Amino acid sequence: MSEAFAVVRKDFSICGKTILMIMVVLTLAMRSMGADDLFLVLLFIPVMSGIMCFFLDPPDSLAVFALPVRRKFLVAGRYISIALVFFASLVLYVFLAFWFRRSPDYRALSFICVAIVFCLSIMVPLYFGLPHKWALGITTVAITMIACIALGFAIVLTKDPGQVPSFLAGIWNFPFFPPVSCLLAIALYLGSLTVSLGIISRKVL
Amino acid sequence: MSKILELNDVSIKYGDFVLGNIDFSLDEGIFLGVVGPNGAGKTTLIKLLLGITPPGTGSIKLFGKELSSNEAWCKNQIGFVLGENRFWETLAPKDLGSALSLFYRDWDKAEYDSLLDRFEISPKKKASTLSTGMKTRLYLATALSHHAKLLILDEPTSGLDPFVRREVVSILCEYLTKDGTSVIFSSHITSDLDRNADYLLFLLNGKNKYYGALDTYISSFAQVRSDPASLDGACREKLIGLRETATVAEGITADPAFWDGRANCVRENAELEDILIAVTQEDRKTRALKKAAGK
Repeated sequence: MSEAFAVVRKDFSICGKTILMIMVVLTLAMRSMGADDLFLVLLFIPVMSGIMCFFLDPPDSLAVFALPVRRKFLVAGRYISIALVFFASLVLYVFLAFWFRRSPDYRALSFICVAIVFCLSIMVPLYFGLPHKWALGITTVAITMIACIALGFAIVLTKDPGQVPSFLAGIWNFPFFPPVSCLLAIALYLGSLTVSLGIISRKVL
Repeated sequence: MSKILELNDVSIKYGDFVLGNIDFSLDEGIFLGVVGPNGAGKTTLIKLLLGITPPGTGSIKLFGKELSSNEAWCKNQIGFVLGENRFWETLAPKDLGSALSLFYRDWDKAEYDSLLDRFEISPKKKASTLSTGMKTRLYLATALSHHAKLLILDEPTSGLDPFVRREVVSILCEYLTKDGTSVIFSSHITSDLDRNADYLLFLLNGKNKYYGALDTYISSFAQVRSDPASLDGACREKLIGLRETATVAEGITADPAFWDGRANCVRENAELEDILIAVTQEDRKTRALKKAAGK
């Protein structure tokens, strides 16, 4: 297990500060521009996930696999790094929610669900080998965006069905998240998934 | 002399490409040069040796231990420099050393710092901002800082000027003076190997074309220069990679004794590069003929 923790320590020594800095700066910037919780859930979290995947050591650098770490611990270490970054995101989110005197309400729950879905969605490619960093980053953003919408919709539908039209209208009219972007995200997701599977099937890793 | 590396009938398949039946062992104190044209399987072999890719069949033993079942231990004994596949270039050398020290049991910080100093690398300048030569020096420093017994280098000198290339090779030779160490050096640049390699592994189309002492291989060939009119059919059959102008014909022969005493012929020692090119051309020609015959 010490090998896995070496990977975690390495991940954070490489990009921990960068991720944390981007998270804080982006959140504060978005808040100061008047972004609400919906924005944070729909855009901020997926983008953070993508940034995190991009900054964690580029998986296309095959040299990493030549380090004296067993592959299973390399993957296990990466899971732990991801989990820790998500935990940090959650703490930051709740902290900011209270700071701005807002209740995290159901969107915090949605965030936790998204984090779980994200971790699960990333485990599959990680299990078979780390795909290209761009593919991994884009896939993560796309999966998380789609998962956010789906979960947000499910939660709103369960808690307050009357809010569904306004929730959908909010997404539809959202300046940073128009329908075209949704389609683009899906296309990117499918494209990057194809690339990832292509790389895996070639047994490059 | 103990064996550092043993490959037993190792094969791997990538789509149409097969690196097949690689079988050799490496003793300590040996500088092994791995050569071959693009796509011959050099990088694939290096990936196998570094445990980046597991072999399809066969076994790889390092220091008598199976690589697949003793991955971490074996990799601790290896220092590596990969020409294009470098990692963590966003880090400064100082931080790169700290990150690597988490993985290598015998990481020697003092040695790393002294190598950075010797190679005149600023510990605080990001690796990505360094020149190609400085990057090679940096990664060489990382490979030499954990008391590795085997250095594996995949085209580390490509893109470097002759001065840096010469320096890199001399560092490797210096490393080889330590007890129980060996070097595996894959390169396109045969002049890097000519002067320093003890053994040669020549890969061609994923096959082991030659493995053995470099001098023996070179001396089994000769360069022949002659007047084209003096070359009869038998002579031409003895030449590979034949190049002809109106006045001169020259090629490589694998039967130097055949040319002893022949009129209008000059026999000289062949250069490694000329031999490799001639053998590769001959192989391509043979395969093209076979393919045509198959159709």
